[in-house]
Amino acid sequence: MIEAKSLTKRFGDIEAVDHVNADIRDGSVFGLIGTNGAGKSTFLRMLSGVLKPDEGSVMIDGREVYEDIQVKSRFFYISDDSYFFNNGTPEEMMNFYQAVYPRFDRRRFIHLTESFGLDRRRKIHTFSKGMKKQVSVICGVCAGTDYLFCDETFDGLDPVMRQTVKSIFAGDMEERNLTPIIASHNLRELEDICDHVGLLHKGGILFSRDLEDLKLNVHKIQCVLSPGMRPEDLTMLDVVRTEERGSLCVLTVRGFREEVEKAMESCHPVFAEVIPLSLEEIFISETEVAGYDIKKLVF
Amino acid sequence: MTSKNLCFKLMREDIKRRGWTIALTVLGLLFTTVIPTAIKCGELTDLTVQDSPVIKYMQQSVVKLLKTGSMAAVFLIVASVLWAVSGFHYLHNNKKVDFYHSIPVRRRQLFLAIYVNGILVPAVIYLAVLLISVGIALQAGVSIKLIGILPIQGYVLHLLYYSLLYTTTVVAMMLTGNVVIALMGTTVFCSYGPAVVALTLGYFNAWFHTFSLSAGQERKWILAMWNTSPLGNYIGSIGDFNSGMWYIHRLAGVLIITILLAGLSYALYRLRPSEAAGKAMAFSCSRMPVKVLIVIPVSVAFGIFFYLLRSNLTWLVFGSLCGCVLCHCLMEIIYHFDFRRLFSNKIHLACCMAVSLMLAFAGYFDWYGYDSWLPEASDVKSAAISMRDTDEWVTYGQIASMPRGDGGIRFYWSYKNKTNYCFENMSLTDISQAMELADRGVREDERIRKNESSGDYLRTNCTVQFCMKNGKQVYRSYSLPLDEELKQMYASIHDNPEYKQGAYPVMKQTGGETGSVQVQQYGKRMDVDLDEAGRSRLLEAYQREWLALTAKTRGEELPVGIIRFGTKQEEQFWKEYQADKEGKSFSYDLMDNCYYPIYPSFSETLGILKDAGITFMKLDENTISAISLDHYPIYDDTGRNGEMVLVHEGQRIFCEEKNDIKNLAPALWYREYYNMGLGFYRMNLDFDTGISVYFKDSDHPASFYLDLNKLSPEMARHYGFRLINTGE
Repeated sequence: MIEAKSLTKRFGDIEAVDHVNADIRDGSVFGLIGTNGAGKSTFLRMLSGVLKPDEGSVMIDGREVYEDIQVKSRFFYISDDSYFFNNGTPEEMMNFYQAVYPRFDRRRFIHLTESFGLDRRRKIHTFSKGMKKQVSVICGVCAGTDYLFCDETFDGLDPVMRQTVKSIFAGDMEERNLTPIIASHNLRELEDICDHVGLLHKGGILFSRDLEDLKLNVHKIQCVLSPGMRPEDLTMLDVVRTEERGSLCVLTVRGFREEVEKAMESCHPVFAEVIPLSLEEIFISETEVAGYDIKKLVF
Repeated sequence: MTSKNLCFKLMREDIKRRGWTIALTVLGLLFTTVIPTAIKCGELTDLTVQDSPVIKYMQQSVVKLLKTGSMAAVFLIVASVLWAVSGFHYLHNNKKVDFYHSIPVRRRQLFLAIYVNGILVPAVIYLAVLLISVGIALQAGVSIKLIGILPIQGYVLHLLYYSLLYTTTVVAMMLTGNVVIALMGTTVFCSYGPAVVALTLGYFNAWFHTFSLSAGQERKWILAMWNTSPLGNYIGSIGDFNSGMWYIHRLAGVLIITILLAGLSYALYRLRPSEAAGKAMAFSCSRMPVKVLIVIPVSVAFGIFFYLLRSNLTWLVFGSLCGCVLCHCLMEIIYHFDFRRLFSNKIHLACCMAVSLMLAFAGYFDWYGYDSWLPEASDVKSAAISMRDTDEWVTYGQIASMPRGDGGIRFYWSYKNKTNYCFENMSLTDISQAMELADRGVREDERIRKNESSGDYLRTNCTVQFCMKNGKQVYRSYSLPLDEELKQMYASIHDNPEYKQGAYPVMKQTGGETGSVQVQQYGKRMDVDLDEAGRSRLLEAYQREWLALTAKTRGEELPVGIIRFGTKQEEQFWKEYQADKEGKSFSYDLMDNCYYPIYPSFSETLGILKDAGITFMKLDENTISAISLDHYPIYDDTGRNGEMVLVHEGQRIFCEEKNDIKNLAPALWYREYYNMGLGFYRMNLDFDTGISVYFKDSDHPASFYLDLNKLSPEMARHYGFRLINTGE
């Protein structure tokens, strides 16, 4: 289990990560979502021991990550813009990782590169962005680590490849209890793979919950209110966001589905329907509460 | 996996990554070591002559290449930077830092693997290249005996200095986050020390008018310049090694410093935050001290430079502020990689400007009180004085020997500075004269600082050494007008026996050291045939008479001849040279040093010389056969547009008549003897006329001056002289 306690990192005057607390359970997929500059990459870089926290700690099973080789051998970090040796080939990368990761699976690497159609002797700098990502992911899954830290890993992969990678992750989770921690802007990609989501905003964590709980607790109601009634009058509901299109109101509300439906019925609307919320919608509504309002940004 | 295994694996992987660095090193060392050796050996084997000195010389050249390899040294300097940069370049790149610092490898192991590779790989390459070169040399017939252990010594020397320079660059890489800044940092590490030492010396020279250095202090400053830079020290060591010197303690020092620097670079590596990649400085706390350490010397240098251009306070202030602002802004731009941030730290800038101005004013107004310093007479044990423009003919130093490039020996005169000799040998227990001189010097300096000093006088320089009772030695050099007061002062100093004991090397010479005596008169050299006792007697007589000689006498009398007391050491060298003229070089000029004048009043000396068969001729019609007077044409810039106009036609008068010789002979001054005068006591001599005197017993004329005071105006006119004081 990964525990981040009061994790803080400053770059000069900028507070990149501000007292973040997070628990990441083993065997689940942790999605790290957040606004631009929220500190997702910095959080992952601290998680992987690249950056030393200014305050707080990151621990894996109770051991500090920074400069602990035993702990570091339990994860593999795929950065947003991975480094490959100058003129290096996938084969050279494999040899290097094999030297430093004791459980590196060479046969699987060869198998996966062949499956992905990657020439192991071709220089990586001649690969496309997506192919480079593929090499990174293959290196990561073949390292045989317990955790895989992915920073915008799906960015640049084509849809087929995205699904393939997700399948590999799912397979590894099944087989060897791999725990991927994925930071991404692409919430649609995370939605069907993440078990748990952490939302970062301006360096701080807004929430860290299971995706199912999150979905159960936030709902979208499409309704036409009874004449003379305004969305503001729905005081029994915890309305996070309101959108009006003529007489049609789209409300984002917090609370259990049954309670929400009950409260809605008591208002006798002309029409009301509770529809599931996508992760993207949850993201927008939660960040809006925290002052990250799309209307303010655009208008 | 054990740490040791992992470290070796990392080293192997690192070597794989640095193929181009290895290739460049191999190529560089091949072209600077193997190929020059092969070319030299080719020349050696192509020799058709059986002349052993030529072959020996060529073999020595090959050995020199194997030994010092100056070209290889230059390449190793470049290679040290190359290996350090290529090894730790990843620290300056975010992508690479993420890669290397996220893998399960201890930073210590990573550092160790890269650092050791940076020394080990070039060391192995250089060793291989050197072995190939030695093989080529042996193949060409250079004996192993001749080669000896020189290449091994050279290898150790180069490798140690390579490691030092490499580690210095590694430290620069650790302190910075950008390769260009790291290279600038390396340049600063290699040049800051000598630059600051030179600037300090420049500051003292510019502001302390009475600043003076003893030979020992001078040596210390020079050593400080060499030793405060790893590069300077390397060059100095190569020079010393080339001259046959091998300093184990110096190399041990280099090794210790390298180890300390390696420790420092490791500590910096551990402390260095990963996010420093791409920034100018890796540690924000180092920004301010580094900036101040560069800005202040630069502003001081600018201040001095502009002051030297215009010599006024306004330009000094301008220079100091200009240097300070420019350098500070440049540093801020570099720190932020942003031109718009040039004034981003105004408080630092203001502080630097204040310090720079304070240093400039402190020097200009002598707030240190350096120039006005006068010792308490009760604190001074003894003093020594050295005056410029007096007795400049005296030779200081001794004959010495040094190895030649071809293995032979060269005898040469190891000159010593007059002031240094005086300070080492003079001890004036009566310090009143030195105090009087210093007091006058301080007053004169105050006048100079207030611009009250008259520029009409010729000036001379006088350096005083005060040996304090607490063991300290203080030096001051005063610029004084060459007026009557100073002449009187110098006459009294000159007449002090303690001054003579310390100012003239002949006074320290003993009969036991003396191996020969020679005299000269008007260019004619004569050996004095005396045994050791006779030489001692002659030397003691001369020393007595020289000690009793007054400045007044020296101003009035003209030497009849000159004498030198050769040393036994010189005799020994001469004999060695005579025995092996090929293997040794001996300049005949060496025997022309150390002559002293014999005045007519030196009766005891003249008596002993006379007894030894040496007599000096008189200048009269009996010894002179002719006198040639060459009046040079005189030009003046009084033309319409300032062009030179001939105002006096040149003329040659050749006097062979006894009467003419009788008239001119009393006014003749032999040039060399005139130059042996005190210096201050200049006669009314005519320098616009070349006077050659032909002797009856010689075919070679001698050059003379003529004292116009000893000719009546009519006679002077008769012989074609222009009388300056009458305007003719």
